[in-house]
Amino acid sequence: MAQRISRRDFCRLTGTLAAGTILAGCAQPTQAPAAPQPAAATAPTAAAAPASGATAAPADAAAAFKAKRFPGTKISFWTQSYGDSTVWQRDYLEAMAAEFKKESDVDIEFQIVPWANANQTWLTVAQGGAAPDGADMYWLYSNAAIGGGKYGPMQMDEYRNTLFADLWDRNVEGPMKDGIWQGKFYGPVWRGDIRPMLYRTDLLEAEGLKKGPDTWEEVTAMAKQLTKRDKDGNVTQWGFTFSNALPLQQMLPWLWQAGGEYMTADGKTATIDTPEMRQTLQWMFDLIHTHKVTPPDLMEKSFNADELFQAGKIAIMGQVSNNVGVTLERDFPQLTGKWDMQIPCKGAKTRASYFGAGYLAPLYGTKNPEAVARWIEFLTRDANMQKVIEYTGYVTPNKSVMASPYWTDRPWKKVAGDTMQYAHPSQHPSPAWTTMVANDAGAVIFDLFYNTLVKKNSIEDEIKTAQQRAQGAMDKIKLP
Amino acid sequence: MTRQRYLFCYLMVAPALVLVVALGLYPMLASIRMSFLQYDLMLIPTQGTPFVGLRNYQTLLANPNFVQALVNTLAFVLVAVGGVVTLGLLVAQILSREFRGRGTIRTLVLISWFIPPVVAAGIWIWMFQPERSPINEILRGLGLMHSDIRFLTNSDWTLGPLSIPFFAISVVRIWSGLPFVITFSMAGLQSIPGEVYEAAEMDGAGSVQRFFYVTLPMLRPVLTVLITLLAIGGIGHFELNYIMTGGGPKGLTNILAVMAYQFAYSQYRFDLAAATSNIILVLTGIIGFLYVRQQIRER
Repeated sequence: MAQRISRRDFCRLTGTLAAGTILAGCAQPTQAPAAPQPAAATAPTAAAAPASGATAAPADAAAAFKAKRFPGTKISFWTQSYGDSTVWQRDYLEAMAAEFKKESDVDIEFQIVPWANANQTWLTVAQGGAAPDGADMYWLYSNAAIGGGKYGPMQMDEYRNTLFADLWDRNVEGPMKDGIWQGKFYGPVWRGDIRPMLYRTDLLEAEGLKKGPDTWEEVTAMAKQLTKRDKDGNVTQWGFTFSNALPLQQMLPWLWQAGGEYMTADGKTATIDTPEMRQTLQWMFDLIHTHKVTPPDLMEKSFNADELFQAGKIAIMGQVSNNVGVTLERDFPQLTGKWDMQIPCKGAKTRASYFGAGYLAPLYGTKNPEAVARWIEFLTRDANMQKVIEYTGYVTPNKSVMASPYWTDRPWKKVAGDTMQYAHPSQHPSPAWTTMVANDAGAVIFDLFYNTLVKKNSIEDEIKTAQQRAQGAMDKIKLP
Repeated sequence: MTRQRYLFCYLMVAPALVLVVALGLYPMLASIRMSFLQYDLMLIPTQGTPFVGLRNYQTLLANPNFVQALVNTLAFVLVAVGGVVTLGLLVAQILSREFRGRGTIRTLVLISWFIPPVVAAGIWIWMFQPERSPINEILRGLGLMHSDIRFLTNSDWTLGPLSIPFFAISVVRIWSGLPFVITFSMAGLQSIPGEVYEAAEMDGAGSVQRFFYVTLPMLRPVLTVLITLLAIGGIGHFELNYIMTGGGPKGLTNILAVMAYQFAYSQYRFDLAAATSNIILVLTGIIGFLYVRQQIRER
């Protein structure tokens, strides 16, 4: 009796497997069937009115919509984690879902998307990968464009004047634009990341300064005054750094303050080769290399401005995420009374703060778009927004929440609220913007800032190169 | 009966084969195929994924950042593998001796094996943070230097692919790979019969001669496997470089795996990412081929 597999049989088996695999690999990707459209999509769609101009539907129609129940319906919902993921799911999401079930009969199944994988997850979803019925997402413009109307975030314009008729009155208009793409309403923006200025009051007071700088000129002057060196010339205290954020989130607000943009409002033309860009780069370069009052490593991944600030080695951070205040209060009691915030300083033209937004939307492929829309409407009610914001510590376009004691009980919180009026959306009209401002070498804007501020290449040459590359990236997408 | 036995054998290996095919072979072939397509996420909705032949590879080779990453990848493998094998052999020699506290030291040496790369990177980023680095503190305390070393960001000194951030990351890669080499080497050392050393000693061989003329030749099979595995792993290495520097400063620590990730997830160019990954595949394939050829020759 043969005890071993013969070489011939082995070759036959592996050959069959290999051939099968190659055939599978070489096969044309199967076209996914068209995603089911929301039931209401077949009905005449509401005109894509400007966010603030949506006319309210008759109250009884909206009420009837909200009273509808969906017995036996189960929807999946993905969200990033805010704080401890277990606590986020148990204490907030499941509690909300239980309340929602009472009025809708809908069961919600949650999945937490770790922030570390969030970009990849949404990119995969936008390409037709596994997707939930609804989700808490960001970067609508790019993901909607990649999805091409088949995958990714699904517009719900048809619910705009029914379920969400009063949304525009209850929220600040500017940030809400992050949930609208090409005139279509994809979902309400619920959280924001606004960036006021943060400074060490103890370090400023030691120099006789009572508050942070209000203009670029004051930034330069104060940074010089606050930068300290030891006898060997090593910097022991930096006067100023632009932000504690990812490199390009540090850089772009200053361009906006100078009155610049890196693309036109229609998303078709790159506007990098402008006097505003030159002025911004030169000002930043001078702080880093001419005056040597800003850390030169600020674009490197290992640079940690927060740690330096906490250790008293950076006096002023031009723009920080608003929840830094929560972190400082909670984790650094020894710094109580040693820091404060103020609105971002005024650049050559204006004040501007980075504003990143998160929105809630259904996804293509869902079989229950109405139930998802109802769940999103439920979450964005004022009382529920109050709960989630108190839980997460984010700012929100919701006026009622921003006027509540939670966002007004400390001076720094009022500053964060005040900074909202200078919010500049992080998203840009061309879907290519995410590739242009990615925080890695190879991205057009990253290379522009890195090559000028770190490699010290000619600003003029780099701007010309970046202008061409940016236009090339934007030309890939044909916008109407 | 024979047929039934065959069937049994196939059934036993089937789960493993299915996993290898689904998680290894299929993605590999799909990636090879993708590298010959235009697979730019921004263009797919309008242009699809047309066949472009070798264009992605040409684009890569014309990109100086890619060439730099390729050189860095090979340099990291040379330095990290060379360093970890040399150091690992040395430590294994010491740990193979009988001495008091050997068990404790063996355990301590193996600790870095249990630290996930992400955590290890976090620890070492802190160790290398110029203003708070204990290493800088010690060096300054001893009066050996007057300014802080910017371990992960200094790009002032370079010699080809070598730089301070390059060496800083190499140190971490060596540190994290050490337990594997020590374990392998100690197993190899224990398989060398004591009589061989005794005979060498009787012939007048000193400890250095015993190492070079007895230990090393007898460890050669183990070392060959070890170096092959380390080199293959080293060429595809990702975590430490990505987490600690993201390839910076000025691309001095950028490597192919990190670049592939950046192409895919920062620039949405899955075609260039696939082509980069396939170059990693070719490099590891060459090492594998050399290893197999040598094994066949030795038979």
